[in-house]
Amino acid sequence: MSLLKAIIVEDEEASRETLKNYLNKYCETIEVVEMADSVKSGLTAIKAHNPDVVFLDIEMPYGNAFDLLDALDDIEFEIIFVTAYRDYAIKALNLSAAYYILKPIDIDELVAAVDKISAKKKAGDDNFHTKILMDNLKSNAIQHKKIVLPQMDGFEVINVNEIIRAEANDNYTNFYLTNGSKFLVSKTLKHFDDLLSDFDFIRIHKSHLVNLQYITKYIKGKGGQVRMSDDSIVDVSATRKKELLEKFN
Amino acid sequence: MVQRLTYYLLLTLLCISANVMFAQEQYQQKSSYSKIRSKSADSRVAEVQSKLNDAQKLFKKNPEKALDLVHDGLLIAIKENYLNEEAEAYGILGQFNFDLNEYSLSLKNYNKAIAIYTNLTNSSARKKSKSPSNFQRKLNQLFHPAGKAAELSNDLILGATYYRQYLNNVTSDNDIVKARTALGDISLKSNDLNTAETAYKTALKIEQKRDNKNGITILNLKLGELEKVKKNAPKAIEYFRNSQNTAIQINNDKLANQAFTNISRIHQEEKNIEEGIQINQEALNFNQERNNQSEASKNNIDIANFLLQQDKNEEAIGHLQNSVTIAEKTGDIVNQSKAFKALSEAYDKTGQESEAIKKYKEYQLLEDSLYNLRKTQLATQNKKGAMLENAQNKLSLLEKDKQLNEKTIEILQQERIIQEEFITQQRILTYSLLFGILILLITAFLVYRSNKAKNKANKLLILKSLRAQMNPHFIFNSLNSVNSFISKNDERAANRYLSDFSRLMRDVMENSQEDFIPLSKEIDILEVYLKLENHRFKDKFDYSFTVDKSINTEDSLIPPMLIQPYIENAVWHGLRYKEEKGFLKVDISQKGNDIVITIEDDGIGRKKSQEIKTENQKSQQSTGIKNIDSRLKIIEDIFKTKLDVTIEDTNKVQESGTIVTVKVYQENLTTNE
Repeated sequence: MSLLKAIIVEDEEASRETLKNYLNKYCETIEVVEMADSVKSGLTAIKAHNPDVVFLDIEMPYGNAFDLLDALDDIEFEIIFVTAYRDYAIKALNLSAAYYILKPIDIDELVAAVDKISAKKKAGDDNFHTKILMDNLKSNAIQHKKIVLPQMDGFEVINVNEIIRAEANDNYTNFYLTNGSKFLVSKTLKHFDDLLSDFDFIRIHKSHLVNLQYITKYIKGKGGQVRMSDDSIVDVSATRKKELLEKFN
Repeated sequence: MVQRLTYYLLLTLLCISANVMFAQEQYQQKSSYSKIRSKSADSRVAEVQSKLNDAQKLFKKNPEKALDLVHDGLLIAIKENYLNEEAEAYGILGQFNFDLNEYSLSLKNYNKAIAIYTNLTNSSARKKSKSPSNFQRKLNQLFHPAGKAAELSNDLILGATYYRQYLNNVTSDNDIVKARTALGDISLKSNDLNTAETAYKTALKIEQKRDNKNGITILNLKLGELEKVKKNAPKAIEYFRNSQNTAIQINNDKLANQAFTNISRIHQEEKNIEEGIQINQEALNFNQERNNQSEASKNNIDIANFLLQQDKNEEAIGHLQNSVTIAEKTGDIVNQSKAFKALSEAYDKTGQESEAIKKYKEYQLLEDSLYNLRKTQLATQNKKGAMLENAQNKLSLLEKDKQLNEKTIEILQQERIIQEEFITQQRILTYSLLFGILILLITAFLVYRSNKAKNKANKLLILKSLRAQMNPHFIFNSLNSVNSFISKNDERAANRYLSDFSRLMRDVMENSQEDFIPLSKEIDILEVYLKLENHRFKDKFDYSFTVDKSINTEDSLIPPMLIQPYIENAVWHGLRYKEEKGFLKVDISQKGNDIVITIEDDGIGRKKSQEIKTENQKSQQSTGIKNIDSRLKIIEDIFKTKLDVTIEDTNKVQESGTIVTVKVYQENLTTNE
């Protein structure tokens, strides 16, 4: 099989070198065809090589990763974002289930990301993550934001405001949607709690994350319960009761 | 909110307390008026007293004037509420009335005096202030005359009560005898013979014990009268005899004659004519011996009356003529008249009718003149009585007036009590309010102080956390650098870099505990930091780091990690974007006592650095400089240390490059802080 063509866009030389060295050493399916130190040179390289995968540093002088993606009409390649630490971009990446690795680069993480990309390429899947990521970044209205929910057999893309509630199920999470459907997602509830807290979701229980706008009734009790628009009754833990009630005052 | 509430509360409290103060002031004014009044009161008391004294002196000579004086005094005493003087005046009135034989009036006045003194005695005993003995003494002096007045105005029960009270309060033999005698008299009058007898006999015992002949005489007389009432003639005669004997012994002819008369009357009642004649003969002899003409005349008449009962008319006429002779000589109309009447009777019996008629006419003539005499006397008495009546009417008017006054006074007193209560309440209210204010102020002060302390603590905490925030970018980038050495298998470089980085971290952590560190330490940190940054951007800039040798870097103080963010900014926002290699100059110098640090770069400048940022990048802000600004504010606030930071373009025309000057004033800094 042919090697995946990779381009590294990263302003710092040390980081570029590090990434290149590790890819050469540990990722045999990838061949770094060019390295760029800015958005501008990155765009030129992408156009020149039509890469399979781009390692893209988020923060660079003279424009960041999203400036680069904005400049492209069509994104045919997979992207592995590289970032120095968890900043605002991480949430957006997670929402669209984009691939990213953190600096200083963890070799195992790098290998896992590359493996996933390789598998995907083999299966011939579309690169819809990036499209959703860009859509989300461009739309400011909450109701238009989309979330990518990874499942055993692929991904489900839904509007955030279609989710009525999520319920923990060991290391997985059950999602209940407005159309009455329910499905299991292979991520923890904690992951979605972090992700959805900006969208009027509230963790009312160790096992429950609910969308505030679908709560139809609060039933008094030690912690109490809430009834959701789909008539499901969800427990509220005593410790989170106050936080919930404050949202309604 | 709380502050505004407190203001309102304070305002209200102030208003209330001002009110109360005003009320108290008014009250104090009032009480000072009453003080002035009480001063003038003393002189009025004296005035009343002098009126009463004058009245007593004047009474014998001019009772009418005396009464007027007492009434005047009484009027003042009533008006001014001098209870002591009022009682005294009533006592004097009682005495005057008594002397003028107006007993019921006398009793009325005595009653009033006694009532007032009783009240005074009780109240002063309650107050335990003045000794009540003064009032008690005055009271005791009133009981006997009051009793007498009651007795004479036929209020025997009241009289007896007064006498008993008198008896209960006196100690001397004289007074006890006086009391018992009076009690005996009044008991006798009310036919309480046993009481009378006991009283008399007890008194007699005392008199016998101290051998007071006069007293013994009188008490024997009284006991005789008592026995007479008891129809025990022999016993009565015995007492009278005793009385007669002692009276003669002490040459009290009057008492002796009383005894004779009493014995004679008993004989007359008992029809013991012989004994009657005998006793009168005895009396006649006694009186002739003592030259008591009037009594002798009376004795003759009595003897004659007894003789007439025995039809010894001639003998009787002889006695009667004797009697007339004596009476004529002494002008004793009463006895003469009696003698004429008896003579007329005697002549009638002997049949000397013309002589009888003649004597009877003479008797009638004398009776007429006696009647006239009595009428005149009665008229005088009535006149006196009318005068007293009039005066008493005035008094009763006065009293009604006084009652009105008393009501007014009572109302005034009640008002005063209410006022006093009000003042007391107000005072309590004021004190509690003041107390409340005090507590409020103390609380406010404590809250303020603890807030201030908390505030300071908070600020210190913030300061500490701000200091500890070394830009995470720097840390991660440093780790990236290490990672890059590893990826290149450059063990030596990786190790060196890691050592430098560790040293920097250690220094930063250590010093972030302090508010100020010696300049020397900051210099160490900056040296390493510059070295590490330069290593990352070797192709971007060269640098120089100079320190004025004259600075005492050990004793000069500086807030830790104050300079590093400015260097970081110079590298990241200025030098990094520069096309060609730039230069960073860090210099530490001294200006007077103060430390001046300049960070100068020839990078792209602040303006251009801002311009080249894309929309996607602008959302991020330089946290380093924001941190520093907060820190500077807090440091200036808490430590009163001045810090000047100026940021300028190096090349003002091209707006390129940046020069930061940080001046750390050493004024308020000491090494041990």
